[in-house]
Amino acid sequence: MIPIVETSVSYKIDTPEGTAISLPVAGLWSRAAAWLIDLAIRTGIYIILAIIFSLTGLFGQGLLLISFFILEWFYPVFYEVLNNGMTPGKKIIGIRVVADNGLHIDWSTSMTRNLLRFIDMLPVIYGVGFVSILMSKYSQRVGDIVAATYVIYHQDSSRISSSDFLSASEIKAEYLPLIRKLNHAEKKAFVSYAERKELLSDARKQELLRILQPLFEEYYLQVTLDNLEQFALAVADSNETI
Amino acid sequence: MITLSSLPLLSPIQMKQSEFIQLQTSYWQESEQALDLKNDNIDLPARYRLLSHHLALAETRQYSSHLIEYLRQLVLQYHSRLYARKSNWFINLWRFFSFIFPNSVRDNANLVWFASMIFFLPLVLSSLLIFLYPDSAYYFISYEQLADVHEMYDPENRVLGRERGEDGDWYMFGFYLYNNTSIGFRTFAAGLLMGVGSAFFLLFNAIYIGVIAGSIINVGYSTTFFSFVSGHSSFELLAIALSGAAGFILGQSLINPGNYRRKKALQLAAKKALPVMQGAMTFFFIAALIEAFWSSISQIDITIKVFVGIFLWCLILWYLFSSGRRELA
Repeated sequence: MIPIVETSVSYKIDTPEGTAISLPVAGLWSRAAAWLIDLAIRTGIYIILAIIFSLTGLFGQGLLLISFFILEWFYPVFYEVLNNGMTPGKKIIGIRVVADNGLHIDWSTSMTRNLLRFIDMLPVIYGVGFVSILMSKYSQRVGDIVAATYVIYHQDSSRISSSDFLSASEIKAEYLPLIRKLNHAEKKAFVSYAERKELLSDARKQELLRILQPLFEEYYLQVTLDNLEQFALAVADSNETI
Repeated sequence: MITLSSLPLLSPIQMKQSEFIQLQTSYWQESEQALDLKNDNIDLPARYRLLSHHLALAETRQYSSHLIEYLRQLVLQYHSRLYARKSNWFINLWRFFSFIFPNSVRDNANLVWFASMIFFLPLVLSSLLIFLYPDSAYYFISYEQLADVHEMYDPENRVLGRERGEDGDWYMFGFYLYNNTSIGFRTFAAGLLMGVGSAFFLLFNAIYIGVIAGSIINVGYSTTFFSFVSGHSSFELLAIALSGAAGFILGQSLINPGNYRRKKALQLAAKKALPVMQGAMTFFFIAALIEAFWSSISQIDITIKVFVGIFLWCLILWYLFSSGRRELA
């Protein structure tokens, strides 16, 4: 039996069509990384503007202050509203902001969460936000809680396309007894593995293999990375239901 | 056109994932492409319902997470496409200033009065204190700072406010916009600390402004001072008071959440507070414009400036008290 651990939290929205869509919530580190990227971008823009405007005297300095004001308070707002809930940093990391109904956020909602950033930044470098993200069920900082927004992982639909679904291959006869013994959750784990194998590094595959080893040994199967993949594919294609 | 009934029925017997995929892939691919088309004739709602159905099936049959994730993304895209609110920014803006903002100020009249009291009372009291006891100014502000401020309003200076060159107006506009609006935003956000934070910022700024006003009048520069200040005072002071009121709306929901849980009360309060804050933000913007481009002109006679200042006070108070009582289409 492979232990199944829920490693991610999802926020569920109920649609009028009676389906619940669950949105995997982004954790502290991906949010922090996105923030750092945005900070770098903002600083970059600011430096470029400062160089350009330094040539134009006081008028330029005025424009510099205006752009600094916009960059500080409205950079996230413009991007979140006009770009699908994604600032450039969030886009690179693959996360985005959604409202509690799963839709894109509007101006007021985005302004609420971004003006209240001031509280999250207290006392230094996002102390309050840090604690709030770790303590809240859906990893929300204070601004998110008040504005009722969620930062979720955003899978670009181009990343999974319907053509990647596993296609049938020949099943080796030796695998069949083991496949029949697997329970549903275990089968699902194998299929998920087969589907995600392109995304995993070799080191991670080795790590997963080590967890699966005892299962194979019970059936006297030699297992290597190569035939693990074959096996996983075989599970996906077996006549047993999944 | 695809309707639910014309689709191949999914067998009630549990179907293997690979069969399910084989059966539906082409439909999913079509649905992906349908999203990109701008043509409204495509029956998106029917597709959305069917995709929701597929997602539900995939979840109950516990198909692999990859497939479920794929369908979920597709359904989510349809969901946000179909339920997105279409809005016209111009109409929204018009509606905001003609209706929503003045009404949201009146709906929260108690807290707006409360914030105004916390702001204007100490402002007047502290300037009165400095007027009567000039030396007490140094309890609040350092000697150098006060000397700087005095110099700014010295009638000997050609320009009012801060010293500046030709392009100085633009510089000061940027400065006022950045500095004052940021103060407003902080005053609002600090309301989350049970309202205490907003009260602190209101008091702090009231006393600061009051002390400076009192001491300038003391030195005898009141002509230049009022000539400079009268134009933008209405917008700027009310903007700070309104930011504080918006903060108090948040704070009140935490202290007295009523029939809601605190989190829900806070979320509802934020929806009430934001129009007030957005209006305050606009006031800050207008104040910065006036302060940089009108208040600083020293050639205009003080009577005209004070008259304009009083006119703006009346206008803004009329706007907040009586405009937008009924919604115009």
